[in-house]
Amino acid sequence: MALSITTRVAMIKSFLLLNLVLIVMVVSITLHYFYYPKKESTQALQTITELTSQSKLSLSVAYDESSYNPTYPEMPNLKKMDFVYE
Amino acid sequence: MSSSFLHFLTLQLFKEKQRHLSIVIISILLIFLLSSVLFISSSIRFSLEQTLKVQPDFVVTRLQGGKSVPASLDWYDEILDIYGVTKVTPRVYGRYFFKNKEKSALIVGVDFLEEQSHKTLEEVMKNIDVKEFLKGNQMLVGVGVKEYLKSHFYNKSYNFLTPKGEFLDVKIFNTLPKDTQLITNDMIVMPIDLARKVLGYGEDEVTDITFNVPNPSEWNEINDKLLALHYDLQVVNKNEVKKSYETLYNYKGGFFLILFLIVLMTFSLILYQRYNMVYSTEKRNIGLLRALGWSINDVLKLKFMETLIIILTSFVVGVFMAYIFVFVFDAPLLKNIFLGSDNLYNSVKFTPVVDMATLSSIFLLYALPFITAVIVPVWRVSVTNPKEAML
Repeated sequence: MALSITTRVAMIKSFLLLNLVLIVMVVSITLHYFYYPKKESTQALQTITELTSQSKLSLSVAYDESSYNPTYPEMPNLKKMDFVYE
Repeated sequence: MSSSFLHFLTLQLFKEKQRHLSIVIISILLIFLLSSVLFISSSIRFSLEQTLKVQPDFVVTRLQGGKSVPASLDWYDEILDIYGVTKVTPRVYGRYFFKNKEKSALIVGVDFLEEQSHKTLEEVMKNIDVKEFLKGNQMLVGVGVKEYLKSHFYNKSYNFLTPKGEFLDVKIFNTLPKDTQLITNDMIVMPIDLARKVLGYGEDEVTDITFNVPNPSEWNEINDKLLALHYDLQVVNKNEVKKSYETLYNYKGGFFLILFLIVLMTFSLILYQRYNMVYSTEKRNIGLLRALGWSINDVLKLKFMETLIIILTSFVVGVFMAYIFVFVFDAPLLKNIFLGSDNLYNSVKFTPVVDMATLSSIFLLYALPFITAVIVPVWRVSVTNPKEAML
């Protein structure tokens, strides 16, 4: 005896529900991604770079005045993070 | 795929959800962490690449004993005389340490008397009265600086202690826009002459000089001409800065990828171990299916689909959580790995950037070992005699 569509759907209800949740997740991040004002934020960063001629990241690191390693002067100071940023 | 197969699959997945729950949770956590790191890294890289486009092509600094020292303003005229060079700009900037040298801010001097700077400032700060700003000692501060000064009761102005030992009272005119925080969080923008006083520069001294060379084929030639001007001169071009950014992200991203691979290997081993010792009920289930007339192919198909659903669910949920965490909640704690947390607090807003190539590599790196770890033991059970399997 063939099962009706309602019975078939009821049988795999949890499976469909899981799929629905996953689709909602994918759609919501896709919408957020495409509707984010990316151009405006990029424009703002570019304008401030033009004004200040600075494009370094505003890192929250404890800056050390000494730019060289006191023990091994030929090596970079490993305490500084900006040895890779600059 | 028939509805009865789907129903059986649903029963397998949801009636025994306790069995899958631990694996799904661990997988979600793994994917969440790696995707978050990837999202932060891609977002910062994207923003930096965009700003790099408008950054000057060359930066000229003066070196003494391997250290950067103030350059003479005379160099400005010498560079201006070189054919093919445009937009020569002297820069005055430096780090100012607040009390006890605990926290610091980057002071940037801008020549607002230039028409271009004037216009750009009006573009950055909507509704700013530039004439009003240039009256007296005033500054524009980044959000991080503003919060730091506010917490130390400097709501309207700050007394800078100059290297000459004098106090210089500078009023806070306005705060720099929040969407530029990735660069301006610890920045103080002030007129160039005021910046010279605060940083202790002489009237004819600058930190460095920047300029553009619109024709890239002239870059090497201009570089040689510059090096011939003075012996203590150092030239850095935009390509070198770009290269250092790439090094940084390969270093940080690669570091996390190695960690992820180690964790993934461990995870796959645990999974393999678990499914290899297919406990008696599972073994009996496979035996029963085989006795009912299911082929080896059908059993493998069922287990493959079951694993695929677990993988897809964990991956989508993990990536979704990471996306929300990074681009909606701005990655609290995790962003400190990239931006640091020792100086002024940075509440930066990340621009959504998803690197599909890396994301698909993560999916493959995660899915393939997972499927192998499940399918191989199941295949070993399903090829045995159903009678033996049910024992």
